[in-house]
Amino acid sequence: MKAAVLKSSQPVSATPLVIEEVPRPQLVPGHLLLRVLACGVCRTDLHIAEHDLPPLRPQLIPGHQIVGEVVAGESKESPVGSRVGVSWMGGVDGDCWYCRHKMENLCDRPIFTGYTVDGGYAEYALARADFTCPLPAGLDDIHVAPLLCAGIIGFRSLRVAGVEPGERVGLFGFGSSASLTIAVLQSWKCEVYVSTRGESHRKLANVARRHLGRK
Amino acid sequence: MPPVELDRAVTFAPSGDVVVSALASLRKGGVVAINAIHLDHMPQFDYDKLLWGERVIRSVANMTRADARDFLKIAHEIGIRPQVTVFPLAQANEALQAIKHETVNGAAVTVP
Repeated sequence: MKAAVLKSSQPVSATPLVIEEVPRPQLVPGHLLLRVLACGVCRTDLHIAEHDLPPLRPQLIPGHQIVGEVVAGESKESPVGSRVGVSWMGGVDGDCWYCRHKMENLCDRPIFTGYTVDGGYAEYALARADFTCPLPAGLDDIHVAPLLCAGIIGFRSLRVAGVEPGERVGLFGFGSSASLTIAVLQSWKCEVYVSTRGESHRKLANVARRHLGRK
Repeated sequence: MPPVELDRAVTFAPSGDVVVSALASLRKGGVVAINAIHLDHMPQFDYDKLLWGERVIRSVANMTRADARDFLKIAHEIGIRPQVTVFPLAQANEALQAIKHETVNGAAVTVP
């Protein structure tokens, strides 16, 4: 299969990803083999490619916002032919202190899609079945992909900040994650303020404001 | 800086300076959540003026499966449709460059 492989982390101006043929992943128990339909590009991928995050493998297929069609594997929720999403959390050990206290996001031995295991910059990807998520039918492949990290982590950020409906909330920096977060805030009738230095991000914030018809 | 005191703030830029700016915008008891896996640095700041008053700084680390399912449900209900720029898989380097230099509005997505 074709894949974009990171062999040596370096500035993206030096094109660290090599497009090449690699073996298709083999199905293993508890996993789903996915035909990748789309994969979002996240700033974390940039941090991995540029060595802001330390390399954990000699070579890696990045990408952790995977929309895929199940082509093999067993899952009650997601039979062969169905569409699933895979995000950054690709698995946890299930028995560390954090997992036992409902904080699996802080697991001591996590699997990170596109970092500790290969991800979705490829034609096929392997994912732990219990860390895939059935996708709603309303959004097509390319529009649902950015929701799988930028959207979910933006949403988690609102939870971590303790946002309540109607509160006054500031978003500092306005990329993909913030643009998805603002939609949730406005559905909660929050008063939203955006602070960003980039002209393109200001335009994006204004588009979001007009689209949602609120201040 | 926002013209009013904020109840909550979320920072998205990989910059510690932005976290301090957000902190300076909070009312007493407010919370800043840092949505970043990596920050360039965390500058010194004035505890008396910026953190005292039970203001809180929290990082955001990863996600849970419940976060994923809850968000996708809400996204479907409110009809979130992100702005997207599509890159063929063969142009994955260009997609990363576009993220770095902020030359895409919204999200970048690769397709095989």
